[in-house]
Amino acid sequence: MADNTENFDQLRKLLALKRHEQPPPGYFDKFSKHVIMRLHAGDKGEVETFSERLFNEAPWLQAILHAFQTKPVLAGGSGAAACALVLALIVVSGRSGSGDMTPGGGLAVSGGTGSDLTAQPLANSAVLVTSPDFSSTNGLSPDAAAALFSQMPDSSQRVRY
Amino acid sequence: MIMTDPAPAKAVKKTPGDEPSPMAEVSEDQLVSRSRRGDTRAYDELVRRYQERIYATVYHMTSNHEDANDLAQEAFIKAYYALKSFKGGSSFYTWVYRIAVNKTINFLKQRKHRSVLSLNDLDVNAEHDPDLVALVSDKTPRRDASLAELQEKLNEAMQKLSESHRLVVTLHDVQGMSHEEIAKIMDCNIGTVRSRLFYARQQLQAYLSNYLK
Repeated sequence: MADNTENFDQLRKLLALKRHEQPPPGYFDKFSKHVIMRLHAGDKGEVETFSERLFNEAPWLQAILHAFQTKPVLAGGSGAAACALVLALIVVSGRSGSGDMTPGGGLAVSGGTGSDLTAQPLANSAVLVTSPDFSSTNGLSPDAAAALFSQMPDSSQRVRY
Repeated sequence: MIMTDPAPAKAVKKTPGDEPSPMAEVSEDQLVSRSRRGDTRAYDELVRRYQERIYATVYHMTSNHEDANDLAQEAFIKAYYALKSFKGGSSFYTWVYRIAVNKTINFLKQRKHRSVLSLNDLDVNAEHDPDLVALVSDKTPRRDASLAELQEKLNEAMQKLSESHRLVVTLHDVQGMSHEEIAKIMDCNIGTVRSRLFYARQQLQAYLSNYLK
């Protein structure tokens, strides 16, 4: 350890060389004037990129990324944990939502028999009809068809030719 | 451990022939307050107080005078427009230092594989620095040529360090800041500063082994 300390002393003496590096004579006499001139001209400097702004406003994010860069095991473990979480969410949502065929928007018609259809207006104006009696191979009974069109949402209007 | 902010710069001393600055005796808090209200003369004084240290840090990080000039100016311009968000939890000096450091690191990351040296000249005192003289071989006929070579090799070695390691060496070994001051600027704990400094010195020692006796 003493040898290391002594070698660092030599290194530190060498690093002191950088203190002798100076900008051209008179440089600092004009520096502040240039800054103020740019301010008066409305110069706001270089526009920050999205990543620069993100890191400036969330320095913890930069610390996390730095940790990932310096410790690949940590990055791999985090990635594996994220994948496991996504898979778990897919499995859980699949189990709880297996009987629900309706999408988030639109008009859902919950089915019983073909003549007993109910319509529930939702946010979108699209109409979606689902019924266990209807399939691509079975035909639509006249009663069922009439029941469908008799229960249009209030916001819709019949077309008149 | 109580970490204190670095000592604020004293008012710029006037040299013979310079006009005395009317803001020279105004406190930093007052200058910040006036600058917030759009007083660019007050901000001019703030820039004067810290321009050398900010420029030096940026220059030692980039080893390029033109880039350092642009980045240092950009840092002060950004700081001016961000004054409203300066809450006074740290000194203005620490706050603007962080802006300059972050801006420089972002710039270096974008420039990662295109390092171009544009070194400042060494002042006349370098030739008379006993430590540097001792490092240069006595057999070299032109000592100034050897110093120039040493300067180039040193800067090349610095550029091989990561940004965070180069920064801690710059702030401590080149600019003489304490571990506490560096921890404030880098927003990390003192232990991190010490470990980065040790690692950076090890790396530099390896790169410069031919020049260290």
